[in-house]
Amino acid sequence: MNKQEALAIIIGRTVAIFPFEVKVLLEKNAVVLDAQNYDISQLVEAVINGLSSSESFKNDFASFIEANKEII
Amino acid sequence: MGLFDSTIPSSIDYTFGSSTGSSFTTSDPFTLPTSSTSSSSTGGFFSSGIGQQLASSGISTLFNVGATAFSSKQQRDLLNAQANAQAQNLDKQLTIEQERTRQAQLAMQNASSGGLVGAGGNTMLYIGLGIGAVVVLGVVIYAVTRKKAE
Repeated sequence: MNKQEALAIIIGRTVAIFPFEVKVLLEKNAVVLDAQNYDISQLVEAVINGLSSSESFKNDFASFIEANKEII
Repeated sequence: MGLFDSTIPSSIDYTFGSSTGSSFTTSDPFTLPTSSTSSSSTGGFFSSGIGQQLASSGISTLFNVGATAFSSKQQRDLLNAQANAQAQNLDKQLTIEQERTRQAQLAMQNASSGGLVGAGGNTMLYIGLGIGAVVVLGVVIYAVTRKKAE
């Protein structure tokens, strides 16, 4: 397994298990304006865009995963 | 260095915890030690194998050197496709599990109430209505017969 695959698994599982929380993180860090109606695939895409463009979202997302790694 | 900086250090030594007592060094900074253990659909990614090693060494270490995943549109598209597949698969499994749980709860309710709730939830209602109708009928008959007797 390479790091990209590990990243993909972590992102995919986080979005599937915590869609509401991911939406909150996206909106809080202004990655998207309104993510409430986003489906799973849209959330994944938004997360990846956020991770590559927003430092604050990266930090929040990493902290969230660290705090919930028992579940993810 | 930020979490997702695109700068790749020239030499990297990865030590993913001491569960096996060995350090994993690779010349390719983006290859984790091979393992037959992949993410489990039920156990969680961080509960075994590579995930456990990542968790013990800090998840941010993955983000620190995973920047190549975002360095180009092609890489991002690939990551998007992989992550989307993971999310869709797990979402389906979670939906199935939720449905199984719901069915199990209904079955338990049915078993504990002798089949009078759940799918047959209106049975008690009909019994109550029937008793009520009998009572009302009895009151009417009583009133009529008393009137006749007077």
